[in-house]
Amino acid sequence: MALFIVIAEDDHLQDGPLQELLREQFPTARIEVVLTERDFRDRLAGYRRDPPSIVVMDVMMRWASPRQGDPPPPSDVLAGGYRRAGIRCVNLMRRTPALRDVPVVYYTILERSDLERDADAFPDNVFLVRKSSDRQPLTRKIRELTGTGRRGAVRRRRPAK
Amino acid sequence: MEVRTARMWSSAAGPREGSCAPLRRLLHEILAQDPLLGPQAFLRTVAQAVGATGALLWKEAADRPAAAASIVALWSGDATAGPASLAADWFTVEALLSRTPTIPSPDGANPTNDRGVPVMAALPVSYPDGLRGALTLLGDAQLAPDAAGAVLDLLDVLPDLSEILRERQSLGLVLACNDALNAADVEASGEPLGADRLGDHLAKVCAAVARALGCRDVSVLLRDPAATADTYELLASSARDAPVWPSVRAGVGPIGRAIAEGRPAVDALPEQLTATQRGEPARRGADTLMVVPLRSGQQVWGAIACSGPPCGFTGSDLALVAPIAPQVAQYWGDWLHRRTIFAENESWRALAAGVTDINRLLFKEMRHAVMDDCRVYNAALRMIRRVLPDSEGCDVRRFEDTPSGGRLLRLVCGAGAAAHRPRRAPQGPAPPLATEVLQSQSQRWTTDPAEVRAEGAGGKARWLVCSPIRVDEEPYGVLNVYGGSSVLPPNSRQVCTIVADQLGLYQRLKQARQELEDMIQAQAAAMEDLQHQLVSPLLVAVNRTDKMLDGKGLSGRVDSDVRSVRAVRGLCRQASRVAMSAQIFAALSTGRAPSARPELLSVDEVIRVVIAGADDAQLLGDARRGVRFEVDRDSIRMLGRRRIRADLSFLGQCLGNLLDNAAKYSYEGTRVVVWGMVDRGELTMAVTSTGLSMTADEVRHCLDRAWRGAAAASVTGEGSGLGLWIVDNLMRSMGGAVRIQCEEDRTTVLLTFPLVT
Repeated sequence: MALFIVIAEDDHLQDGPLQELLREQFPTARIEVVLTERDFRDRLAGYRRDPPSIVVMDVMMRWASPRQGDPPPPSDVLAGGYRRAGIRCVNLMRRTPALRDVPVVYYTILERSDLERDADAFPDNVFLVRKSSDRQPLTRKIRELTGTGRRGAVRRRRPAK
Repeated sequence: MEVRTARMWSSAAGPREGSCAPLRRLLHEILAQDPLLGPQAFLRTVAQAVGATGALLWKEAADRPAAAASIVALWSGDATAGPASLAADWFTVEALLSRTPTIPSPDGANPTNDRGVPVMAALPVSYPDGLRGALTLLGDAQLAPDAAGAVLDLLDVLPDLSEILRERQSLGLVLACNDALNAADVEASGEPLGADRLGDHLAKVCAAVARALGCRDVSVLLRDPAATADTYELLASSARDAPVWPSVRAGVGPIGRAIAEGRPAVDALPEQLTATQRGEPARRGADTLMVVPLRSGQQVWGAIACSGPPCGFTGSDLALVAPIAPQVAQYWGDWLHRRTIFAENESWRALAAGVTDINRLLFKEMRHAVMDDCRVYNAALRMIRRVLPDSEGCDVRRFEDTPSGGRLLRLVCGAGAAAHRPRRAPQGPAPPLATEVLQSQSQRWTTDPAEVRAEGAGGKARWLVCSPIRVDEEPYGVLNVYGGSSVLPPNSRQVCTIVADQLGLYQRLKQARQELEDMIQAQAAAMEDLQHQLVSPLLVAVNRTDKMLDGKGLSGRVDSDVRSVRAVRGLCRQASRVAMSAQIFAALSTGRAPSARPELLSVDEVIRVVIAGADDAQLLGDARRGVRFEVDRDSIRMLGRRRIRADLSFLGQCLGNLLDNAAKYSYEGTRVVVWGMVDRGELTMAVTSTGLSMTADEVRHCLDRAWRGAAAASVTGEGSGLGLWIVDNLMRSMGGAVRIQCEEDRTTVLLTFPLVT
């Protein structure tokens, strides 16, 4: 089965290069980019039917791009603010049985200690890779979590001892 | 009444010869007696010497008939031998008026007085003040000649002797009272005696009075102002086995009446009335009562009640007790005062210790992530109960604003009587006293039970102190303390003020901590944002540069490749601008204003900065959103040859921040226009965009630090609220200004510079 990578990244300067990098590293992978928290929520139903292999999640993410006549955001978004948007998205996945075990990589400039202020930010299948000019850590983590080889083929995992 | 014949006997008769020896013996015996026993003992000695069973010494009143002569002293070996009334009998009056002895004939039985008691003799007495008197000897026996001679000789010195004995008795009683009270003082060297121990000492005074009067019981009843009931309670009694007096109310019963009137009552109570009928307690043999009020100045503290002498009380008895009444009253007043002072001192000590405890608790609470108000309130209320033992209960009520603009008072914590109230106490409009406190921001107190009830105080409270808990000038709530005593405890108001201030201080500290936490959080958030804004363009710039160096990022077409390089330059400029924002933010956070390096800028230089900013915004903007950045060059060229004085980097920073905002908050497919205007000696450069708008109120606050418009905060969420604040500071440092105009979804931010002429 082809690798399905979802990138949640609101920075238009970064989503293009990131997408480009992952296409290069995982040529056979299906890659989808969502630009806002609202877009991610809107896509959740689709992901339930077609779960991603992995989600690369920005943490500080805008709710939506301004559009005339848009309704206000839901109360949890208003209360939590954009700095924890990625954590909210992961929590929504955790509450969805089909998405509960999908690996997630927070790809952010924030430190682990910043995120650990939210007690449930790091369940077992959620990891952190800090954004830097070196993209290797991200691709390495994706390979590790998805069990894919250099060209994106899914490798057979060894049974746990 | 049957009157038997009496034989008149001249004072010049023989029996008086050779009577010096018995008289000396008599006098010696009299003077050797206990001074407290006084004339009564003297009468007893005389009576026993002549074989009489009783003796009465009379003295006429200056303005009253002889029959109304009063008893100076009396002694009776038999209680039934006392007078039926305090009026003299016929024999006595005869002896008094005629100034000759009236002695019954030895050959017949002695005549009886109006009570049926036999009279041995009635002997005239002349007092030094010229008034007449008589000595009446009672009994069946005949007066023997020798004895009669000695008694008759004694009559010459009897008035003076009686007076001396009375004075000696009075002095003895005062000394006994002094001794007892001094002993109490010695015992109370450290702190005031307890009421029980004081009662023990006063019992010695009672015993001395009882001995002097020869009566059965002497009791002291006193009122304690700190007690809840306005009654006079028995504190000491001479008779240990006598039943105690019940509580006495002023004006009720003979004791209460004497207290209310402040005058002594020296009366033999009507014999036909039993004690119970009189409303007095049933007391063994208490058929006569003398009450001497304990007065000190205008204050009547209680009374000395004497009851049950064998032969009733006389005016002399009152005169005897009268000097010690002020002594006892004064001592009681002093004791109350000492007790109050001691209690106050203890109270202040407890308050100081309590405040220290509360401060320690506050220190501990401040280290908790969530401060527990009730823990602090409860500690304060417990401390009040320790400091003011008279307080029955206390509570903290908090003012809360209602959506309709009203103010409610909610009970949040209670102790003592208030602790038993329902946990979810109802809230309601502030009661009258609390309303006054709310309005005046000063303490109010009352001892009116109706007012106390109106405040919702529990128990049987009779006083209440309502103190404001203030945070600066804003009352946060009230502290109510109440108790059951009839008067306000002396230092209760000061204690309440101190505790309420302490609670106010706690609120202030809590508020200050919250403000500090908010500020730290805001700073942390701002730093996160700045980091985010800084890292993002740098990462992208590095990435694009890497690609160019790899040869992948260059197409070979000049225009496309130049565009790529310009984009990288824009990213670097953006990063530089963010870094500069961080620097300015750090400087402003520590109170340092940005320092501009102004230079004269021509129209071309201004246009170049504006175009560079707009170019970067376009290149770095999200092309998918279709927001276009345009510069109206002609409007800026209106500057002509004139120039402005500005810091070029600050100008670029300001324009960059405005264009960043426009990029973030503009609707898709809209235009952002940078334009200029020259008017009234000023150059105005403006950025107009169409997107998320601000209300008029938001416009007034949008230059504040860390302020964000509601729409911006909720829709995009991003941004630190520092951009416009930094622009404002930079513009002011250059002598310019920033203004914002909003019209529906069009927002224009104007930067104004004075022209240099």
